[in-house]
Amino acid sequence: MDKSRLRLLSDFGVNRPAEKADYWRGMRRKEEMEQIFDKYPEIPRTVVLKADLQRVGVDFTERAFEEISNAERYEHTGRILFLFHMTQESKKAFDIPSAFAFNDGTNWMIRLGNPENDIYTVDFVDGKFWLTLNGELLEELNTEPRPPYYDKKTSSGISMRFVGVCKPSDSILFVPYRHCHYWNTGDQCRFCDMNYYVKFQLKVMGRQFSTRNSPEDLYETMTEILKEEGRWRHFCITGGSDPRRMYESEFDFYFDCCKAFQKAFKESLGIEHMPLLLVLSPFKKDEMIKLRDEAGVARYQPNIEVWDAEKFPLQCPGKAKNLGRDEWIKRTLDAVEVFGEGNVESSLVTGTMMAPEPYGYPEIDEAVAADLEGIKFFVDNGVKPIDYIWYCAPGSYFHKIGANWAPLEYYMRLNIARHNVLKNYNKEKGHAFPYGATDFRCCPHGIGYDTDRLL
Amino acid sequence: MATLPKEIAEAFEHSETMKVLTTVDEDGIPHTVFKGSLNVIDDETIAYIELLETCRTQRNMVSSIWFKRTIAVSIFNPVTKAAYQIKGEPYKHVTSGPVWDKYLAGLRKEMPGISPACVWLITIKEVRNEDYQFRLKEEEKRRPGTEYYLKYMETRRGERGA
Repeated sequence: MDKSRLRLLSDFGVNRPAEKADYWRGMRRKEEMEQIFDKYPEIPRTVVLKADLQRVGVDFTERAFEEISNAERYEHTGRILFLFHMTQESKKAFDIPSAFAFNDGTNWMIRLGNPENDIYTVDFVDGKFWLTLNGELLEELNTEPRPPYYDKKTSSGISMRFVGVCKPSDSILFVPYRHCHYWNTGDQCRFCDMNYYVKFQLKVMGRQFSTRNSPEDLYETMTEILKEEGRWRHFCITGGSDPRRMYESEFDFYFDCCKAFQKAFKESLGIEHMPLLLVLSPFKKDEMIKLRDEAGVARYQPNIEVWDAEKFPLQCPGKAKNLGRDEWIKRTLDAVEVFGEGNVESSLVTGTMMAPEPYGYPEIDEAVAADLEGIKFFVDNGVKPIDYIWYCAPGSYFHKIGANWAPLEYYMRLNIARHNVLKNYNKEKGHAFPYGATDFRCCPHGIGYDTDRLL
Repeated sequence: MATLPKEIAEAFEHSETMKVLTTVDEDGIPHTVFKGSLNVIDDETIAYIELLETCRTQRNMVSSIWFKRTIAVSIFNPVTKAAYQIKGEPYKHVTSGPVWDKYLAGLRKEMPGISPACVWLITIKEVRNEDYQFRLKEEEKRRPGTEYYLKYMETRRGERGA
């Protein structure tokens, strides 16, 4: 690997040497966790735990599952985007909330893991949920109350809890189109389980689940959501990619969806611009202007997922074939011109840089440097870098080839460097990125926006 | 953990009471701000409503819960002259549920439409009466044998100021 890329680590405050990747492989969970606590005391303990939970997953004790499966007491997510579990036990997969929060407000996605992998367990002790490891109570866990709109149906008969799902804290996720066209030609991203999972969900959930919601479904659900005063502050819309007509099909559908949301915001709150984040393909500049000016969109996240130029076409062949990396980046920078600095985000699926070769790199610092180069490029160009921690989902290509998670140390080093890149940005610019798009409240998948709370 | 005496809880609720919150940043630099939104929940817990998500106090509160840094709340009532300092540690960041609903409703009566960042629950670790006479007695207890010197100093007060 290019040495100047590796130097980025020390440029951004990662000076202690990393262990060889093999050092961590097969280590017991507790030992790895404690070594990381000792080696990286600047990373909060809950953030370390979150990173680990997103990689390896969690299970429930019988009494904890009995309690959490009470749908009247707890929010049970529709899981309308990905399965987000490493196992497919149908009952458990759907009868649990989307996330737990630690007492410090750090939210983490509940990803059911394989108990054989020495994973964490959620227990229910003296009326409270606890994260445990080998029987030791680690952190108290908190749940969200069930949103009132979950009991409502749209006029087309769809349960609103499958139109918009409560993500943690104050956010709602909409996924009106649950089919990714890259799968049609076998070009889906190598970490993605979307179409595989949709089939599974149709089987388990039956008629109450639909792969496509109409703009009218979205309008009615949003109107109902906005009735709950003061609770919801983040709204995100995403779905499968549709590259037909150079992504115009995707644009047309989501433009109508955004118009429907805008109508709900206008009628309910009297405002034109919405706190809505679009996580979609990078559209053409004139299309983005139309989204901003005619549909009230203020924030946009065209995720590149993989920065490394060599690994991008291997891990994201659909994106590479239909648009290409250079055009993807160009359009992302165009978006900054349209929506403003910091109102555009791009995510990396962190950890896939350590997938088996040729998809990833074998050692921690090569993988961190590859991601860090992208993070620095984005920040230098006014794009906020987001991280989604990779989990090896059944149904994904990586699962089929037996890929496994990256060592916890990779996440710590990337987090320290990312934090320092943003700190430098704040210092040089004299201001920070705008607040309110992806942050610790609304996104339970990564750790970057958790430590952003200190910026 | 310490418990809050009833008279201090009452002082918190008194309309004339001034309340101050002190936090420290990652470099140990203190940040002291008047905060009306400090309330007593029970004799072991103070609630603090933060209005701004990204302000210095909020960042310091996050830092405090992550790295176990102590915060201090000082109150002073100019009418009753009650003065107390409470040291504590934030232990929970609340954004939904009954505590959130209660404080959000109360706040919105004063500031319609406001969207506060969160309610922090703070565990009380130490309670100190900061009244001068009380502290003087405490110092006498802490340094037995000093009472004659302190008495002498009392008599010299006017001269020092002259």
